[in-house]
Amino acid sequence: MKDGIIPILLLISVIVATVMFSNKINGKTDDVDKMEKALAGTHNFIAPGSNISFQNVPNKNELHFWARLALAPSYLTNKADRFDTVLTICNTDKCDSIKMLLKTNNRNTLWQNNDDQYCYFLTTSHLP
Amino acid sequence: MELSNRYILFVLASLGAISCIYFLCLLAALPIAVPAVISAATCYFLYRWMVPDNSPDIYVKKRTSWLALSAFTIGLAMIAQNAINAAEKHGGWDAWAIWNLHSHFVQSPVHWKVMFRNVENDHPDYPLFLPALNAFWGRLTIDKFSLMIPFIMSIIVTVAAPALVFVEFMKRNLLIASLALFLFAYNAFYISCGTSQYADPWLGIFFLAAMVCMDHVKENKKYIAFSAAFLGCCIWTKNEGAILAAIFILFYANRFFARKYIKLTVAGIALPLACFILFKSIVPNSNDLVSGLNGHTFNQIFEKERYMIIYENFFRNLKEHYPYFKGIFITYMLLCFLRRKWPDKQMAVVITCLIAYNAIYLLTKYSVEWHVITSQDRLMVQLMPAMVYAFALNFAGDGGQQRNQFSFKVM
Repeated sequence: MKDGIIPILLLISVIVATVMFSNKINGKTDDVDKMEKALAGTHNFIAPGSNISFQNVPNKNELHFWARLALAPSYLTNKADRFDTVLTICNTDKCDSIKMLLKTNNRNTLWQNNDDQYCYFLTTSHLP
Repeated sequence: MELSNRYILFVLASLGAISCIYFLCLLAALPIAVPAVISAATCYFLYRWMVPDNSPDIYVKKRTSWLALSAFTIGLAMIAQNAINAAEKHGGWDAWAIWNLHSHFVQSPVHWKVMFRNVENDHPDYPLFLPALNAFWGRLTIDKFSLMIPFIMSIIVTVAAPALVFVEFMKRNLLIASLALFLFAYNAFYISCGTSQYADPWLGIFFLAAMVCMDHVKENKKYIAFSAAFLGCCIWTKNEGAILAAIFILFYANRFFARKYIKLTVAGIALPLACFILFKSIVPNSNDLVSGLNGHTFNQIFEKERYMIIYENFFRNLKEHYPYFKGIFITYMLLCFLRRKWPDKQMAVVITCLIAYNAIYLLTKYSVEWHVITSQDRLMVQLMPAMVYAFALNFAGDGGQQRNQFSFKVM
């Protein structure tokens, strides 16, 4: 028997595992997918390599990680007032009050979206 | 060296080379076609250099038995099945917070340096082996398989480490080879880390590959170049890889720097080391642990509580994630005592690395509890493949005597 059969078995195991993994994740949605889907519309307003500030839901640090991944290669800092363009995420029950607050602060909303859990706002102090 | 292991090492060396070539082309702002062509040529050269071999090793001439193949197939199927069960769609926390995030940046030829601004909750100073590798395949496939590529890379590393150890011993002692294989297959922590899409398993396999190559240098001096290349890949994979590489080189300095090997050593380590140095020269922020070193952190060496926390967590991790290792280590030491031999050089390297790793916790600027809890188990994963190899080398008996030129005889 040829000694090269072990690399062939390894190759088969990698292919089979990949197909099975593909079947496993196919149609499944996790938190990272939800964030990517929610922020998909921002790509019309954010050029790659942009600097954006991020206003987060309290004690939900992971939202910053997921948003950062969705918007890469742009820079999303968690220092809320560092850059002019701000991505704000809030719980759906706070949606209206955040809208009012943004209006009071003379922030122009470039884009907004919401899902079953959060509201998303992309705002700037400049006129659109 | 076995043909199968030459193939596995060829794949590992090729992936290391692809990552380096992609990074250098990214620095030079070259289109993706350039690293693709250079990588193809490099892989062909590596294949021609690595795979042909006229090994004088008597075991290589023996045929692979059906029993060995059956054991390997069962072990491999178990690992693959457990890996699929453990794998998450976007990998573990560090995958989407660090490694895959960096990969997203490195995939952009124009804006990749924006990554360096990510200093909050990120480590932009982490070497780019894995991000560059994923980014290369991502750009080559026009980002059509962005979820599959990190998984494919992680499953390769998860199955390759046990295979490398198994093949190394299957003709010398099938029982030991099979036990080593099933030590991986039954270790849920190793498999979950393997498929987490982290860089730690890569560091582990490069370290193991460097060790395996070093043990074959007497057969063919090309293996010294591959051993050095894999150590270079350790450095290019994670910052702590530099510690592993430095310790390994110190232990084998007489070989690496011997007059007949020095050119091959330099040739092997040059590419990944150059990438690491270039990368570090352009990263604006230094490593958080290195920048945190000062007089106060050095005084921490004298804090007894730190030793206790490290010690307690180490044994908790050992009990939780590596339940058989304590018993195997005791058996290993007992065997050394009965054979009137010091532990093998390979084991001494692994133990020294383990001590060096844990010494970092003495100097950390962070809370020692937090630092130990969040990273010690992964550091142990990095050393696990080499540890299993060192165990098997000793237990395989004649192999240990044949290969281990460096053991110190007890008086």
